[in-house]
Amino acid sequence: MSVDLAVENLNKRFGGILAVNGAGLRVASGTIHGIIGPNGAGKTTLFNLIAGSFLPDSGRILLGARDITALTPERRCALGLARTFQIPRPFSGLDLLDNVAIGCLGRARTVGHARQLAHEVLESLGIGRYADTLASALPIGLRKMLEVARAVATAPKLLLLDEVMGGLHGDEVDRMIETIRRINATGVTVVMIEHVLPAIMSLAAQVTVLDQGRILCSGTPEAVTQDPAVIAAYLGDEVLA
Amino acid sequence: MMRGIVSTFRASGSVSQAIQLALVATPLVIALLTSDNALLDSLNQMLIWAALALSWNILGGYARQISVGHVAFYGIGAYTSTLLALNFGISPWLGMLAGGALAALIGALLGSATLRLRGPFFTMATIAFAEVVRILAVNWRSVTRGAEGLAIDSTPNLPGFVFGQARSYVLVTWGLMAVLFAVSKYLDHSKTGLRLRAVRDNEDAARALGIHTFSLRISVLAVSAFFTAICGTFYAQYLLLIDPDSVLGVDASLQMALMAVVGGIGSAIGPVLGTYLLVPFGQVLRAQLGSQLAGLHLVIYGLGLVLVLYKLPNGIWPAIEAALKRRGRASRQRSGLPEEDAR
Ligand SMILES: Nc1ncnc2c1ncn2[C@@H]1O[C@H](COP(=O)(O)OP(=O)(O)OP(=O)(O)O)[C@@H](O)[C@H]1O
Ligand SMILES: [Mg+2]
Repeated sequence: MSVDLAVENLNKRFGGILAVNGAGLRVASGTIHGIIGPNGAGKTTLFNLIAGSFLPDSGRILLGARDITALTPERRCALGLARTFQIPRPFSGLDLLDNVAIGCLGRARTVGHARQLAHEVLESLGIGRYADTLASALPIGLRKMLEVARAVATAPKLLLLDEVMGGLHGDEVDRMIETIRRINATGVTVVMIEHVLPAIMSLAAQVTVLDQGRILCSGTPEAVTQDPAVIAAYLGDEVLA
Repeated sequence: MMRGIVSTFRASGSVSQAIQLALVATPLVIALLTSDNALLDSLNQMLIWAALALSWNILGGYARQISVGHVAFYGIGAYTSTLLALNFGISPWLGMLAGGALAALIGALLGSATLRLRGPFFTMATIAFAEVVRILAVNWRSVTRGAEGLAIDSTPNLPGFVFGQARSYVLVTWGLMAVLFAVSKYLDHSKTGLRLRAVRDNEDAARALGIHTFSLRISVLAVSAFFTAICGTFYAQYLLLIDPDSVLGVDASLQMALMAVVGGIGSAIGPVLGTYLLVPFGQVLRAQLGSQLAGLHLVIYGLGLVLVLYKLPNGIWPAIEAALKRRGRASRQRSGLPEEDAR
């Protein structure tokens, strides 16, 4: 089950900063869509608006045919939207299994059932052996996995991943790429913010570049990385170096 | 529900379980063994406080919404069942359900108006709310008879919830406390309990996972208010006289919160343990020092509280549990058994 996402002319101001400035975005059902841009470009703020952590000053957000602009985060979750947090926010007093079980509660009859479903999620992501580890004792790589597992646990149709590769080592990145590919293969639409460009290149069908709150351009990864405006604003140093 | 409770007990260490069950059962055993009416009297008062602390803890401990106006629900319970009995001859056994339902409804309304705001706003609102209910009880004389209060006919009869013997009161109040203990355990280990843990730990993450934090808090407040009101009826039937001072005084709100906090909020046994320690401590101090310098016993009581909370900010029970865990681990290592799982 998947769903498409449309963002229309979204604006969000924090004091003097227009963190998101007239952003528009279309994500086709069942695809992986990358979002890149320099630090402070407004990527996380865009996710916070889509997921409902903040309400936009203006603009619209559509999940499938449904206008979700004014809904609470929990209502959006019930409609099939899940997100991870850039800085992991585990339930630190609980173990990995219960963290994920909380994501399963909406589709479980009992706590025992939720834990059983959570086990399945952990196994499918290959981290079942850490089920009993307290979340506060997990290293960063597994905290990122916890974020993904918890979001997947809600059985989403649209998954927002905010820099889930940040701070991961080489083979951890490879494993995360594989994980995302597998989640997408089950039909989940994925939107991912990522600084690790090779990951975006190998996963995303479409990429959107954000700079100072504005959409600079959208297109295939190849087209986007060759766009002169993108090179100037963001890739410049890396490409020239 | 029974299954939930059983698996709950299996979840925590067996020594811890045994201590908890012993703590809950002790007053019952004493009540069955003694025929000292003064002792039974103290016991009954203590059990009502334990039931109140448990009711408060459902909201304050599990949802971490600190109310210092819970006495309002207590008063609503006491007045509702008493008025229904005096005016319409309705048995307090039924009347207490009506009082509980009314308190739950009013609690839900109060919650909808105040729980959306974060920070201390809810706590302040509960103080104001309790004051409004108290003023209403004092001034609505045609119904409540104001400060004079309402007296209940003291002829013992079962449907009227009036007993001739102190022991009978202790037995039913113990039943109320045991039910509240079981409800607390069940709640903590149910889906609701897991949701509450998530909200306590990280509210934004909880909401992103689909937890309706606002309605969750309102329903927990309603459950807490319901049981607090039931305690009110038990108190009314025991004293056979209620007035705004006895069932709507500010200090009772603080007392029930304090007992839960001292014992350890967020566990079922914490409020029970806190009550067992504080009520006798207060009674002994009053008996020993009450006749001397006015207020001296209260000063010492307060200093005792400060000392406990300074040393054990999470309350007494969590400290005991931590010590049991350390000991368990040490003895397992000595006997060469593998570490028990964190679960
Ligand atoms: N809650 C907030 N209150 C005030 N300002 C904010 C808030 N959240 C973000 N901002 C500001 O909005 C701008 C965009 O921030 P945002 O976190 O969306 O950037 P980002 O593209 O995710 O950056 P990074 O790559 O570093 O994660 C920044 O200037 C930031 O300081
Ligand atoms: Mg960001």
